[in-house]
Amino acid sequence: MKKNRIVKIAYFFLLFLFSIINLYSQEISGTIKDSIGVPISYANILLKKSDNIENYTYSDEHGNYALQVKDTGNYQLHFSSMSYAKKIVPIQIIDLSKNIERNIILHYEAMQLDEVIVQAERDIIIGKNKVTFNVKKFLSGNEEVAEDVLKKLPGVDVDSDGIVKVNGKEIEKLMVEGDDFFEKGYTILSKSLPSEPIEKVEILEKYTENELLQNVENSNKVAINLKLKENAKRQWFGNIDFGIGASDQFRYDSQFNLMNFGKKNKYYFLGNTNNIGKNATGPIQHLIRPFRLNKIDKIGEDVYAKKLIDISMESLGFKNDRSNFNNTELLSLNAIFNPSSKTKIKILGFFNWDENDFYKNSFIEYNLPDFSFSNSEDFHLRKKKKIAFGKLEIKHRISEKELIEFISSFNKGDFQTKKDLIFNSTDLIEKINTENELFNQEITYTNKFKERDIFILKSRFIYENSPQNYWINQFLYEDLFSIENANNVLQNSQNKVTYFGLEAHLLSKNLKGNLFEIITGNQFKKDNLNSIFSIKENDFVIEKPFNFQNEISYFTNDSYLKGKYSFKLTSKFQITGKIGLHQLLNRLKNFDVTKDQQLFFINPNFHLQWEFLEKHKLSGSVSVNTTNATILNVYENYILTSFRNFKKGTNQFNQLQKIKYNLIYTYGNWSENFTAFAFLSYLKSHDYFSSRSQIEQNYTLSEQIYLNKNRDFFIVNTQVDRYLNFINSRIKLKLNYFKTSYFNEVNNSELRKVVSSNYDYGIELRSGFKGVFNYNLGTKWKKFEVKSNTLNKFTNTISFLDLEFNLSEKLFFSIQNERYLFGNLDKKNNTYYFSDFSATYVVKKNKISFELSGQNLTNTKVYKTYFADDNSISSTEYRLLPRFLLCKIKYRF
Amino acid sequence: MRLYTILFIIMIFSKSYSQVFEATYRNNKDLKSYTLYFDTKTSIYVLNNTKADKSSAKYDEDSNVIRVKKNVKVGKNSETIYRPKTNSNLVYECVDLKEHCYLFKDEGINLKWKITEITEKFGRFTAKKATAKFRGRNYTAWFTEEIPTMNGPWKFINLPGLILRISDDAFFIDLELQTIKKSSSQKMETLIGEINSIKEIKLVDEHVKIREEIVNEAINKILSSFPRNVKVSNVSLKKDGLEKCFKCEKE
Repeated sequence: MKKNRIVKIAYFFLLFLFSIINLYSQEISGTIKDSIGVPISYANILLKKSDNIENYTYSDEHGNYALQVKDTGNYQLHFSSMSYAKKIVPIQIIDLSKNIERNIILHYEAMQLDEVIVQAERDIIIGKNKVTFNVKKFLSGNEEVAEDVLKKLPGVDVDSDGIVKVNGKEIEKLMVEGDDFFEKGYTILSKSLPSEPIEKVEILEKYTENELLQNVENSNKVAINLKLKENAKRQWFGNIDFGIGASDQFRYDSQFNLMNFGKKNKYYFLGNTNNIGKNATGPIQHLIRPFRLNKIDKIGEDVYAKKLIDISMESLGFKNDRSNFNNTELLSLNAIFNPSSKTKIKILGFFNWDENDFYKNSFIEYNLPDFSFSNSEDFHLRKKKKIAFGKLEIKHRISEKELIEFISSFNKGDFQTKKDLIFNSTDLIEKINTENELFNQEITYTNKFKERDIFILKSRFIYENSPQNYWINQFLYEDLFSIENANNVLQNSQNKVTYFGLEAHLLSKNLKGNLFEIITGNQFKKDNLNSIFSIKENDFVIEKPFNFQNEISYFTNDSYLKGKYSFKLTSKFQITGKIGLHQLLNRLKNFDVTKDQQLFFINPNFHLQWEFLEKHKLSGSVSVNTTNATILNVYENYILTSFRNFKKGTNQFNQLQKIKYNLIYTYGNWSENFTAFAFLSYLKSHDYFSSRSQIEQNYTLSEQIYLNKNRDFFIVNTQVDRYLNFINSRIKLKLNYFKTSYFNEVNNSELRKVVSSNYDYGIELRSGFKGVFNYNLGTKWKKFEVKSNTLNKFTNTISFLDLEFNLSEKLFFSIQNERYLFGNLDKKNNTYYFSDFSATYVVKKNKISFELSGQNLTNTKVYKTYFADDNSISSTEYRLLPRFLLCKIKYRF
Repeated sequence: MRLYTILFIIMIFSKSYSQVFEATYRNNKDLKSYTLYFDTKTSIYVLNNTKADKSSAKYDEDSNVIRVKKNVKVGKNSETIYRPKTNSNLVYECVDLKEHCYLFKDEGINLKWKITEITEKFGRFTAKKATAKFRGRNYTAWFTEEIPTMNGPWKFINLPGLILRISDDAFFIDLELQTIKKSSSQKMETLIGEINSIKEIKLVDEHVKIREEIVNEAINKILSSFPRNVKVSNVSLKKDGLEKCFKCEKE
């Protein structure tokens, strides 16, 4: 009560004050009530002179209002409130010293507002899944390249690395007039394309590769399309990186991108050369084989002819760059033409020349059920590679709802390998010449016959041929063949595949988002595998041993009907069921003997995904799969696959069945202090291909055997992260486990069980400092164990320490240090240290910068690893690229 | 007894008179959408759900690249402005920082609108132009007397009609009315209930400090969560907010 009085006094005091201040203005006051006398609070009172608002106020809780008037004249008082009819009262002010009172009654009237959409023509046009900006209004005139334009647009963000995001989501690609060369590597374009010709920017939501699949294919991708002005002037632009270095020899690493983008035609050239161990095809890999997660408009993706002889140039458990002595050149020419608004032609081509040297020295100890021995292999491998690749894509929009697409691609490769080997003090020379020819033709027709119903007809033809000549200048197989005077061997082989597939695919999505699919098709595949193994004396063939020749044709024809249904029970629970009915026809023609097989089988698959609580996510799947034996399982006679290995298949038809269980669990995301991740996979094979081997010092004969037994394969990956507040760093614990067990046969051992398991565990600490300095350090222990008739186990340790310094916006420095420890090697040779650094100085952002980098600072010359399998243990030494410093200039024009 | 029934009827009547409306706005700057629920007595302004990516770092095996998505725009995800009484300048600002919503009490909304004579047609509505300075930015608003409310989007209140469009001269914000329709009071009351359930109330001046602390922590966390060989160059913090200063108009 007392408080109320004080408020009242204060109120009067204020009123008094106001009346003094507004001495020369008149006050209009009053009360607003409704028709039954209830005061209307918060009503609008406007004082208008003609149409101008001179003053305005609101009524208080008791319906009272007060308004000041400064001049005399004719006014109107407008009284309005939501849910009441507006009332206009004329008022004439003659004398400013007199206050006027106007009490008003407003009548109830519900406001008639049945959803009003306010639309105005703007610079932003929002359509369904598409937002278009007329860029002119958003620019300030100092934009140079496309990136600068994108930065200015609402909802678009470009970060300092050039990553373009739309409302926080990274874009899938940046197109120009619907054309694209770069996919995720779009920064090449966005940082170089001049801004001047850009007229409109389109943001495409729910983006799909095949635009007709939108709304049916589940996509939450975003892409950006730039539209150019009608009369835009063409100009060349791009960037060049030029790097040279000092080392044991002249080292270099350079590349250029050169582009010309017009409204209709676009050209893109890329060149790349280095001798610092880098693979040159990396930047154009996506042009050759575009990566799509759910290629629902593709078939025959897994068809290829495998090379029978492939000498690996990879160093185990190690960055391949370090041991790759190379000299690589790559030139890529690409163009897109749009002869009409409905037709698009894309041409891609590249040439790659590569020369690689690789040095490896291994010592292998065999511990076999019947005897033991050891071998030493010391070799220098030299590989010369020439690849030419071409691809033609034609897309034609027949109508609004129909699209037809032709893709033809062609690949020709020539690989010449020479290996100088010292095998247990015998000098050997091996030469392998490999050719590769590939022709691929795809025709895809898409028809969107209803809003959410789509029909796709896919056809594909593939022809691939990989002939190989393998020559060894010594005859090591005296124990296998009792032939006198033999002094060299030659194998001519060929693996050829012809494929034709036709598939009809119907997709239908209902309003709730449940997807139903029916697929029917026929896929025919013919594999030809020929090999001729000759034992020679100088240039004369002495013998072609019967069991070492192959002439196989393997036909498989699969007619199938598949059904798939995805059903969302709730937004957090989804079930997908698949079933495939297959009618399989197999024919094996071995020389002149022909065998046939007819088989019907069913492939069921079941997948369920379940998310529970807020932070937990659990998903799992079960699938049953039947696969047909491939050509590499069915050939009858031995083929030489390396200088001391002969392999052969089963000469039988086989289908293998397996069940796979997957479980993925995640907890939390990066913004939390604690996150966890676990992946479990269990694969059970009811039958499988194993091997029966005869291992001798100079050769191994190995044949595949079909086992109707169970084989287990188990993988666990886990990671637990914990953010530590007091050091602003995150600690990460990792544990991975892998185990498999199976049976095989070695040197008449009968079937024996092999259990192979390895697990690794590691700890990492990474800082999250905002300032100049950051670190990342960690250690990982890898334990391997193989148990057969002997038990082999070893532990390797890898540790690293990376330091980063961002000294200013223009100067960065980073250094990476690694330590490798091989537990089973002798103490003197079991530890290796590596250090690499790079420093970048930006002279002008997005224009010119310098980079200085150094690799292998410790100048480690060789590197030794240790390995074990069920029959042997080995230690292998690799020669490494020596220390080098590289100075690079990066320029954009 | 008789008196009570009359009172009861009046209460029902006065209740039924307060219609609730919902106006949706789009911010042309980031294309986010907001809804203003209002009746004659109160209003609440909320951010509609957006489908922005959560930040993540993912290893893409097929292309051997680590794709990093980072969204450290903490506090922009959920902003709610609740004005409990239409005739007072007090609003509560609820900002979803970190896991829970922080409630800030903001009493200093001292918007002095200058209403001009300029009118323009916005669809079926006629709008008047008004300008005001507020916390370091100069705003231009278009409002219509045809919807007589002094509630408005965000903290833009006290115009004699609904705001159809409002932007600042630096184009930091550009809110545009998309639709307006009748709403249910239940919807608004649920939203208000959520705000009222927050016990801890801070002063708006603390907002900047708290937000900065949280952003810093978030940056530390995301940087430290990257796998090895992810290089981070240039972490920049944009301190640009809608409210540049809190006391600057009182000069």
